[in-house]
Amino acid sequence: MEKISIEKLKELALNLKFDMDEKQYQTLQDEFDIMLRQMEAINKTVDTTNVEPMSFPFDVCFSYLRDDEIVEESPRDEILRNANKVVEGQIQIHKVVE
Amino acid sequence: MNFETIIGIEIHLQLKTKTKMFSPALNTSKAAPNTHVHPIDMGFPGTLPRVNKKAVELALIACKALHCSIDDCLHFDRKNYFYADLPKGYQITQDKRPIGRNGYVTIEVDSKEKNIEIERIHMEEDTAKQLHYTTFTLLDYNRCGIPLIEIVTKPNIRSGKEAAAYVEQLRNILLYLDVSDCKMEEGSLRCDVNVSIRPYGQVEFGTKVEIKNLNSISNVEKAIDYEVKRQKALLLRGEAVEMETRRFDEASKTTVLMRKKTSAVDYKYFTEDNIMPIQLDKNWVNQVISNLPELPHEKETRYQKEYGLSSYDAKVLTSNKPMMQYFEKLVTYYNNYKIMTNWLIVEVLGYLNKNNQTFENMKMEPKELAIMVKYIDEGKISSKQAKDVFEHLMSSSKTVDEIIKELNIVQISDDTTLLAIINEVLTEFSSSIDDYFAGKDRAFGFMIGQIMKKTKGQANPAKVNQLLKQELEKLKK
Amino acid sequence: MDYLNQSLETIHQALKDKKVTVTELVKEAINKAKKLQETCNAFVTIDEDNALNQAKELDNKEVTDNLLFGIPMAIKDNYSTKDVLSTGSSNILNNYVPIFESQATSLLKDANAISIGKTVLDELAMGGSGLTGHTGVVKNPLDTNRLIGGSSAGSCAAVVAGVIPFALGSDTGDSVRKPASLGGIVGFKPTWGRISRYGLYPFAPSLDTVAFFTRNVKDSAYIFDVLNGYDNKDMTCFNLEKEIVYDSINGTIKGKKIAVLKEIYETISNPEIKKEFDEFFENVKKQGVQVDLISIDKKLYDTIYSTYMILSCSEATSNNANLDGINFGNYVEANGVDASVIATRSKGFSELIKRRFVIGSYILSKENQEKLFIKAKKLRRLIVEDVNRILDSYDAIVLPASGNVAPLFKQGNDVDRLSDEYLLLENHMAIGNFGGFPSITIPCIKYQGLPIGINITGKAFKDKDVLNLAYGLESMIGGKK
Repeated sequence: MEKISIEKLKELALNLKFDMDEKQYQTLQDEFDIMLRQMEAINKTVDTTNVEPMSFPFDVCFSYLRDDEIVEESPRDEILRNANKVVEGQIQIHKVVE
Repeated sequence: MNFETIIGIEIHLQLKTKTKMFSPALNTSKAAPNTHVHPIDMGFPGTLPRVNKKAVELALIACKALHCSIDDCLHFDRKNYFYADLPKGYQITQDKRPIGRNGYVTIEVDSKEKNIEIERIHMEEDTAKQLHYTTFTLLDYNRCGIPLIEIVTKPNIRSGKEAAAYVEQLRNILLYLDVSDCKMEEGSLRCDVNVSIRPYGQVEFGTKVEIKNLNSISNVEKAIDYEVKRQKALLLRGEAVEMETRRFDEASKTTVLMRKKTSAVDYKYFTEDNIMPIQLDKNWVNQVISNLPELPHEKETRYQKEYGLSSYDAKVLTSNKPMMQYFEKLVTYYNNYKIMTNWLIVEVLGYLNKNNQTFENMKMEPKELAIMVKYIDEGKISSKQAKDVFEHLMSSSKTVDEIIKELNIVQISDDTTLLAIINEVLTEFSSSIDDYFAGKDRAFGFMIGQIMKKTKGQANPAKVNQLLKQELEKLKK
Repeated sequence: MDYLNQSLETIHQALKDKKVTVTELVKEAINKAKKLQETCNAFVTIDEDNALNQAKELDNKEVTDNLLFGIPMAIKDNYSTKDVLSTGSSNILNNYVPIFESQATSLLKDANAISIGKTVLDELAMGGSGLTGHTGVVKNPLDTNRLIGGSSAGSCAAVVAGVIPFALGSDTGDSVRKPASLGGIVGFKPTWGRISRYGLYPFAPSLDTVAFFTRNVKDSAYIFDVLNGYDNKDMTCFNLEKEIVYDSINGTIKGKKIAVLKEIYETISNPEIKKEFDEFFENVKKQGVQVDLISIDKKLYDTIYSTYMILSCSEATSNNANLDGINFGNYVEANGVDASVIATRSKGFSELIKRRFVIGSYILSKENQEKLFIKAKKLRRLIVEDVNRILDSYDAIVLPASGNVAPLFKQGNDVDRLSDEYLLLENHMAIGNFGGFPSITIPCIKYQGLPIGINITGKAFKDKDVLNLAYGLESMIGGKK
């Protein structure tokens, strides 16, 4: 696996809405190197042909669905009390440009 | 060069449930901001989704009505992206295993039927509402988490007209089944259209442009027609159509660029690991989808067969759910279906339109309309009198009998009384008898007029007609 | 007499006999917590006022038969606690005061346990060192030059120091079972889906488990009894009847069969430690337990760490996308929404977390999903199937919970992360999360005066059997009272 570029890492980070400094990107690049080597090892050593991916610890299905009867809500002041800025019962943010 | 138009439509539909898709907060669009919110809707850490049974039920109904095959084991996935209206940073949706696949909707355009193929129907959740002001944006989470289904067609729509017919038919069906309010103007039915064109014979698709913000069915057609023209012009000038998102501008009736699509966004879909797969009870699914009410087109056929209505009348009746419901009550009271339908389609619709009313807030009870038509048939009131009665029925909550009494409407149908008056007229206007026998049709009308005059319009016209003819016959001999 | 480092039953009896009041217990716990805070930094919040108020209330009531009545406890700061700061040990949540209570903490509070505070974890539970919480490093009370391990670092330290008899943690890879080993206490991760996760901050939900620290196995059984059971707020929680195991575990282990996975066991590099464990297993045999050193497909088990990293980082990337500061958390204002969210997340997360997120995002991206993410899910299946195969013939898999004692801080990060000892021995407990197995660590040996635990993992939903086996082994080793 080839070394992943700093640019690519930056793109990934910004996609996740954060940035790092140059040194941190370098550390990340090194870490990726180890990661990718470990992952490459995975791909080489164990044959997983015809294996079903496992998303949960158990292969079972549930049957429960929530009845659409009981209404449960929190008061507006509670809902909004952790927000940065509240104006007239709404959370205010910078103008979102569509 | 001739071009072929390729259209695919994605419709987001808010489901008519009591609570939200994954939270027990009330599903409502009419409330003060942020008053119907559960911590789950805010994406507070540690909250977990709880799938709404009714939403699943409505999705199943939609699948059945649109002839989709149903996946009775529910799987949910995450669509990951950052946006201010998406508190969790992902939307719970169904990517790999939508609840419905491979369906169709039959439309009729220019008297020809066509099946618009549906690729998939999946369940997901709505985002928060953003209210944009000049310098800031406000967020309202009432809408956040409202259940949605997304209905995606295959690209087999070929014109704006077909597209409009598809949306209309779909809306009609889902409205009938009470799956959704289907209000485009209020956003409970949202329609995104993908349009591309290609020279006839070309196999590859052209570059597609997405049009958003279509808030009425007629705009769907207008937007597509404009967009096709725009793309043709570009290609004919030797320019390329670019991948972009446009919106329909109501004022100029054109599509306007919103943003270019640089590359396909990677939503990093993966399994929603807070919901185990849910195996729906097969009996329950069957129960849900086998008890579907009759769909509009099924009703249309039945009305023609059962009530002897014309195909036009049947179509008009079923194109409007409240009118259809009114009609179905009407037919339980009286059996002159054709005449009652006429009253509905002509007089009632006309009145409602003129007075800006709807079937929902209409005063006239079906029973009263039925009685009125029955009275006409029985000769109790004349058609002309019926018009008066009708106006009163529409503007008050009174019964036909009350109105007749109030207006002092009586119809003279009694033979003896009528014959006396007829003979009076025949004596007074004997010259008209000669004219009548000489073949002048107007003479008959004139005599009727005189009889009506003498009875102040209260004579039963049919009766008068019959008796006058009978008396004239006698004179002929 | 110090009651807080006693068993639940002993403290309970003292309360019943009116030898001590709830208020006295809580005061003592808070004093100890404050002292521990100075030396080891275990707490984010010490909730003195609330705790004392509740204590007062309980002192006006008759002591019930419920062992948790009036017992002070601590809660990992990644549980949502209503009206009490719940930071996840991250700067991005350093001002977040939830409006709802997690299911696990409300069950404990309903049982009249009293929370004296919220404990430090590795930021957002992503880490195993106790070094990365936003309020600083958590130290090992047994030797403050050493780390206690994580991510449930503060909860572990508080139980080790005898501040409280039990504490809530959470376990995604070994976040309770590893620190328990380094602190010489019991750490139990029950079967996945037996305890509601509602209100536990998600790290990787398909692996996350509500878990806890106690001073002995029977206490773990009691906490398990209180916490397990169906909760319709969590659609991964099994609709099974509540299990009560406390009274039925007796520690009978004669005739049991345990498997020791040879290729993992033999990577212990320190011969003295190895010898201690060998002796332990000899003693186990003497109890009439069949101990088999069985061989496994090393190549498959070598992938545990990578599989864990791939699955947990990917899930974490998405689970923490809600942390944008807009409707809660530490919003950092900048020029525009997007810029503000970027500023919020850039300042809010430590570097380590960011690196894990980038890794997760890379793995989830379209071009890598099949080759990394799906591959890891397939490996997960192969590993789980293999472990289940072993557990078909054995009552449990028993292995050292770590290969050495708690590392010194100055050792830093200079482990060879491609070595067998690291990949296998230090990470095998993630198996418990892959397959949702009940898995417990109990104190086992000592090396240079410091503890190393032994881990016991059994078949899913056999929590009782695992606890019973652990209880038997604990009695043999000579567990704490």
